[in-house]
Amino acid sequence: METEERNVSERENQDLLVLKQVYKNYGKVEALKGVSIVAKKGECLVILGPSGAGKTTTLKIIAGLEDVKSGEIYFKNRLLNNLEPKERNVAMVFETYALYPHISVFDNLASSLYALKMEEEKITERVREIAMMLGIYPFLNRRPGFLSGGQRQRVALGRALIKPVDLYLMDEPIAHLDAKLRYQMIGEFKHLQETLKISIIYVTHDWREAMSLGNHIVVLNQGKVEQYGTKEDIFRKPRNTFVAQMIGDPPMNLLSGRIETEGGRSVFKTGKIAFTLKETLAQGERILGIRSSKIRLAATSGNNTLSAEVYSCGKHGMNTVVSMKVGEEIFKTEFRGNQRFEIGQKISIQLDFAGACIFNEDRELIRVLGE
Amino acid sequence: MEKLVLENVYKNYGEVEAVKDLSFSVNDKEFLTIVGPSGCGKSSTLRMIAGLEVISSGNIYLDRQKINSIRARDRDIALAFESYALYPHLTAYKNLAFPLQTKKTSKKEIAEQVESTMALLHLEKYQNMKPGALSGGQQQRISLGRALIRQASIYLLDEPLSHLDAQERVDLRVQLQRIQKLNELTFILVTHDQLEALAMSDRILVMHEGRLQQLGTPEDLYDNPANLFVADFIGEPPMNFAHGTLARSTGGRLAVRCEEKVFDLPQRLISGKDLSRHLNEKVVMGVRPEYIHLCQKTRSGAIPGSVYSYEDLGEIGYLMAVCNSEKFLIEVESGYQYKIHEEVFFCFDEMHICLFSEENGERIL
Repeated sequence: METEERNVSERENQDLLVLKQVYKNYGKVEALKGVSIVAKKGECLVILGPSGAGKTTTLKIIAGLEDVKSGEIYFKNRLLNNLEPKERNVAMVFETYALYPHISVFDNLASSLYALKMEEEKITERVREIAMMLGIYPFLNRRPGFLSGGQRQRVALGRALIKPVDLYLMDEPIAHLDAKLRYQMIGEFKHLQETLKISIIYVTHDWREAMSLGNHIVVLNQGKVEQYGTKEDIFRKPRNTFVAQMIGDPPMNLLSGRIETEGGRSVFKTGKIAFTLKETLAQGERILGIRSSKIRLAATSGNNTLSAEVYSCGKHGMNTVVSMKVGEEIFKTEFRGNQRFEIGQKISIQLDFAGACIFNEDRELIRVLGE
Repeated sequence: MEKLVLENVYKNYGEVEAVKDLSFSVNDKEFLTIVGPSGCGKSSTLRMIAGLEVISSGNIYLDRQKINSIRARDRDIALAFESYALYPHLTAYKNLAFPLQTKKTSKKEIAEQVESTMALLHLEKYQNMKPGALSGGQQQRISLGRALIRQASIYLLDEPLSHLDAQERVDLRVQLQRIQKLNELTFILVTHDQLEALAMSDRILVMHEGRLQQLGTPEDLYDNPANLFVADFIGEPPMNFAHGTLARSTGGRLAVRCEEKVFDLPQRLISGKDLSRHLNEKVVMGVRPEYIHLCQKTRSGAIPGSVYSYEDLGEIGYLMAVCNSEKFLIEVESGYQYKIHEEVFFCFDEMHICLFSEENGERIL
């Protein structure tokens, strides 16, 4: 009995921040409509969604910069709703990096530590540690105006991370960087988070950042949680077509059709095409979702093959990216290596159903095939 | 057939040389993209072709006719610029119809053309709205439509997708390529976005500091960059670079020495090439993340590294490994959770190692 109680309390301690049914209105506009999420200690929780989803609003509510209309916020099991921002022990980095232009990088980094009345020696050590980690050590004596955009961003990140707090809140912290620097920063960021085991809530519209950094991901859309789960679940078991298409490039391809039973077996039918499935599924209107990697060029037509017409063709990294017309739908896929297709060219493709998703007419997931 | 030819074109703004000795030609029915960072001279080049800027020296030929001194409006060229320059008092529909009306096309024809162009650019919903009521992305599509609806010898598009959101941009890349190919038009598009250039173009011209760096197919640029600038500019995630010295390893083979680590250059790669004049020179070795593979410790030439970070993207992952002080980004299959500081071994795809001179960035291998 005793051990069980302890286990329960340990588990609860893992939940650093809990949002329960949070609603937020701006005038008549409902920005959040019952958002419930959990951020665990030592993890990075990513809030992913398109613009207008309510991502930043959620973050501001956690920071205490916005009030809620209803709902509860627990931080370390303590109700947070009525605590002032400064009492919350969270640090926030917004997309716009506000640095003091008239003081050095060192002082920019140290400013929040001065405010904590920390010893001089400790401050110097902490600044050096953070600056080394972010690769801005050589610039400590410069003023922000003499740094590149990427370096400034790293200083801003450093300023947020230098303050020892329980939870870091980050709103699109690297969205301003050019693409190359972003790759580098994601690696640095990931290294930092895992080494220091800090707890972060990270807001982004970029699925790649979400998958790279998140242990858990919450997909937000129009003020509602579409799915909350581990990043593996979000990728492999998207709860609906919105989540399915939010993650991945090219996004998951969707094919509308219906499942019928023929001779005791389930068949997915669309137009003149019929695929016999290994699984037995209920009949009805369905959507088949299949990722680009499961579409291959077929030498001959046969089982699970489809004829397609090339719609456009280009290059993406070392891959060839091809849009093609399959029945009435446009499929988008990438093939490895250099290949050239003409617009209008007829090709045969083969679908590998392992991992394919079946959605119902409400676009909700009912089955992942081959699992 | 050559549609447009630039011959030793220069553009000076006072003391500043914005475009330096630029020569290239665009083929009929070709989709050529000029790409480079801001300030590289790409927009100046387009404006000279359009006739909006006077060229400082050199020649420009369109359909074999020299057009240096022909006024912009007399050149048979359609333009779409990053700034939309729409008629604020006209609806989206009328903005598109406007260039046709001046050419005395019948009403029915105008309607057909406007409607089909609107459909291609997904603008049907906005046809009765005025520009002021539309978002930047929507205005930009109208401006693009207004250029494409004209009959012209060549179409010049300056950052035509820059104000669109990510999904719209990807959709419109596809539509732009289809419009160009299906109507057999000649396009010159300017962008700073190399992904966009790779996705749409027949050929790409890379500019930097006013000069042409490389002109080639997307495949050329990706696999055979002419210099360090192109290698670094094209590709996302970017190419890995290791700085070192070209030296002979103990076995007498050519190698790149980076601090204590020596990377042997594969025999297959260097056979038939004389690199002796570069011996002891500072070099930069470049390998793309897709051309680095994890391997067994026992494999000859296996490079030891330690995991710095690992990102799993669902189907592939990016592993950052540290070897000496260099970091290498490696594309791997997802599925295994690499731990920070874990030991890994990797090797380079032999035929995809690039070597550049550190001094001038020229490709030497």
